[in-house]
Amino acid sequence: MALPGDVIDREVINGIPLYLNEAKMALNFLVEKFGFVVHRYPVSKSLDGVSVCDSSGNFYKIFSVTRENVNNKKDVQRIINTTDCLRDFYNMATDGLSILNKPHYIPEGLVFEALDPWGNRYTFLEKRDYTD
Amino acid sequence: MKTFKVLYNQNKLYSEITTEASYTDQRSELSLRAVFNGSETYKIGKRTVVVFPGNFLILNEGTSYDRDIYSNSIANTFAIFFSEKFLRDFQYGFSSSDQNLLEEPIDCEIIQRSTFLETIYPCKGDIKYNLAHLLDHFHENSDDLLLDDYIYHALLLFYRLYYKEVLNKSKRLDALNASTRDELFKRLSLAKDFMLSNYNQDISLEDISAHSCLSPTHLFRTFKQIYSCSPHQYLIQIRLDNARHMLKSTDYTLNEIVNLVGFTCPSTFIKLFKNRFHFTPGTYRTYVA
Repeated sequence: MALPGDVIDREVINGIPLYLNEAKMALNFLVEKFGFVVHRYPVSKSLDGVSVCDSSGNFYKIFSVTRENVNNKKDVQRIINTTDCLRDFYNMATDGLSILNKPHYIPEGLVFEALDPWGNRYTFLEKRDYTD
Repeated sequence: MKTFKVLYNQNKLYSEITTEASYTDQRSELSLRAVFNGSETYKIGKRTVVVFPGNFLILNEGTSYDRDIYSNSIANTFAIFFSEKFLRDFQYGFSSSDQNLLEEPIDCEIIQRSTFLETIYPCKGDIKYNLAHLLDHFHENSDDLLLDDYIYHALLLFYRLYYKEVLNKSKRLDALNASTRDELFKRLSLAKDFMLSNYNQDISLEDISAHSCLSPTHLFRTFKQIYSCSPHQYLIQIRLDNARHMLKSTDYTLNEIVNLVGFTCPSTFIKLFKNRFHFTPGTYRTYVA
């Protein structure tokens, strides 16, 4: 797994886009609820361009957009790897987050989907090795 | 060290870490019993079943048994006891939408089952992950509702396994009628359990045949219909799987492992291991485990 300090710029540039308004609140949400780590703040005072990193080492780049544009960007798929899908589901459900579906089994492992308060869709995937 | 917890809905979790323990005349609810290290021996009527890592045992409600642990290494055992209320709620609440949790189709008739074939089942895939997480959360004293989610999934995954390992496999038998087929499948399960429990001993087809109350010829022919291999090939697979587990999780030398899993010749073991896993045991331990 990549750590925030290991990042190379290309990964950040190509990071998965997160379309948000209320960017500061969104950043707090991602850090507190999803356990994201802030990797880099932009030079400007705006949060536009902040890069964050999830627990799987995926990088996201925040784009502040209007609420209308947030709604247009909901279909981008963001897969967050987790080591314990049921635990994350339980914690998020307890915190009252929007859960799209319960944990269910797919050929890669166990997954569920959740939304952040801005409508971005996340798939939490616990990858499992079935060859063992 | 023993850890026991009764959840709000009367489901129970029990974990024991020890090298020696003996319990006689036990009786319980429907329970799932797994071993993560070492081994645990159950005496159920006249049968003796040994549970090793990689397997679990199902005991039905009301079954009487003795349970013993005598292990050179520390045995780490874990059991889930499903309460009657939980089973009823599970069966009642199992809606068609929940069937999406399962890869294989499961009809309501199977879900309504509350007694199962008391045999050793493979603890692989999702159920292995589920039990490992559940054990961790149990030791961390996690919330009852979270533990209950894992127990729910454990039962759901067990139903899936039961469908695959028992109901589907028994259909492969060329028996005349359903009751003959069920009886034959039970006896073949005795043969399988005998091999899983005694894989580290020098056992012959005649021994397996005697324990399953089937003639050697009948055993050989019907075993192949169910498990797609001969009893001898099945025994070799068990030994190799256990050798792989030991290479991964113990410091035993190769020669010690060869003896512990019931092989007599190291070179034969290495050849068979390489054929099965595409690595020599040494390479597997160094680079894969």
